[in-house]
Amino acid sequence: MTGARLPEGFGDLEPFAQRWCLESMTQRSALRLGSGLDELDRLYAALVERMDDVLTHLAAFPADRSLPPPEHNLYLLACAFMEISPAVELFRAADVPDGFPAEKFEILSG
Amino acid sequence: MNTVPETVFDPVRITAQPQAIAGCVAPEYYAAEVEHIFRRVWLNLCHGSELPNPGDFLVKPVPTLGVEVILLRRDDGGINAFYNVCTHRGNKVVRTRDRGNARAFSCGFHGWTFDSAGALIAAPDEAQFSGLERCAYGLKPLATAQWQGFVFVHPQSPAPQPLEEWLAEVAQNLEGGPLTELVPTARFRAEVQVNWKVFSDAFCEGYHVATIHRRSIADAFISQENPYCHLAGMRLYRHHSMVSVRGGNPNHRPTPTEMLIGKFGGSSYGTGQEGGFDHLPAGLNPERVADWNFDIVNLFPNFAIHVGADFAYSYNFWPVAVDRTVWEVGIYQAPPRNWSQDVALNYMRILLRDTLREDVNTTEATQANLMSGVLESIALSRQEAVLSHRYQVVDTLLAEAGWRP
Repeated sequence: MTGARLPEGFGDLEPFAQRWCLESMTQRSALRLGSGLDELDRLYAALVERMDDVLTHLAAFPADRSLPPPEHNLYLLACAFMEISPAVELFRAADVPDGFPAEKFEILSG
Repeated sequence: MNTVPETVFDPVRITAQPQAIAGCVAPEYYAAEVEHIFRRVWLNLCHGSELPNPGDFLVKPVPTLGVEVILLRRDDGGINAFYNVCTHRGNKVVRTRDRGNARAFSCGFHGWTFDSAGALIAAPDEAQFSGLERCAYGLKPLATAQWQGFVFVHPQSPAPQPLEEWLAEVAQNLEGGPLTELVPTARFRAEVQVNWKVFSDAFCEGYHVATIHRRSIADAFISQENPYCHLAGMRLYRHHSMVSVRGGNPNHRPTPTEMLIGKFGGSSYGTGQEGGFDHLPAGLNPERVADWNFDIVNLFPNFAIHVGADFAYSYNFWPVAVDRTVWEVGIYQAPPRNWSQDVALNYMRILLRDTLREDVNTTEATQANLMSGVLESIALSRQEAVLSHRYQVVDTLLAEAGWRP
């Protein structure tokens, strides 16, 4: 892929955009569960310092209007941060320790 | 004027004896529950937002009854419900899709066609039937009613009792509350090898929070003052029940993510209530504890709604065998103002999903152990009185129906 996916000012997050800009909770959850904790830690470390800027940027866009493509990708990256947050901050594991098997827990929407 | 209704059962008395487990392991007990309870009460099938426009329909499996139900939004805003059974030869009338918008349904077998009120409007080659009276061959209806945005059906039509009468003992507690302001934002589903009551029991007390959720939400819930996550209060009515869950540890150190969602307008556990409780009905958090998190509303038999100030979760437990349950989860949140708040609201859905997987993982092992026959009864504390209450309501209704174990 060539060209910027994210809005101006967020170029440092481009290396994560191709892999982690996913449209649904189902996709984000599957990628989290298929990743090692070391990869989740790297994504988290890159994003956690920028999330305030990311959310401040997105706060200017009302929710009843669709986002321009670069902001949409930024939004998806922010959703990926939320997806991996419990794994990194709480569980210190990609999956829920001692949890009901993910493959038997259907995400219908989310 | 908004007073809290009287409760019927006392938590101390109801938990005084060990709870027999026969009702969770005996197939004949399950068969009696389906026949004498599930076929005779109001059941929640969906949220009204799944049928936003006139003509919108949804085909909803009701595994406990072994049927599918067609739910359809009428022009006047009401809901029609029919068994998805063609009155000609019994085929499914709708079988190629589970939702859509339609004014009529045509059976794929021989083309019998029914209008949105269920009336038979066309039967091809009708003259070959002897004295076919169309009015006798409409789709078989279920009674329907809506409450706080949720759609209920009664397998019998007309229903022996209006929904508002069935829910009266708890409905007032939620009148004017947040449920009607919330929209569905996530849905989950699982089939679990557990009795429906044992499954429901996993979501009715705070006793498990310190252990099952020790890695996830326990620190936000558990304080030095309330180390076992005691409930703020409990209301055990004739059929339904409510409890108030506390959730504020003043010494909880927010994670970086919790700091972000606090700043950008998401809600989370144990963050406290800004602006107090004046906007909430007296029946929600009636004790008005400052660290209130949500009330658990158990609508007998198999539907529970967890109602917070700006969020709700719904749980449907559909038994399909004495030891198997289809489980449906819904999350409801206030519509976000902007896209950063949308991101912040995302976190609660993810955290609930992960903590639910912590909850559910105990259930299959518990059921297998109960089935093994090692135990004849279980011990329940006063904090678990809602569990005793549900067992007692089941036993009472079965006894009233003349069924004996």
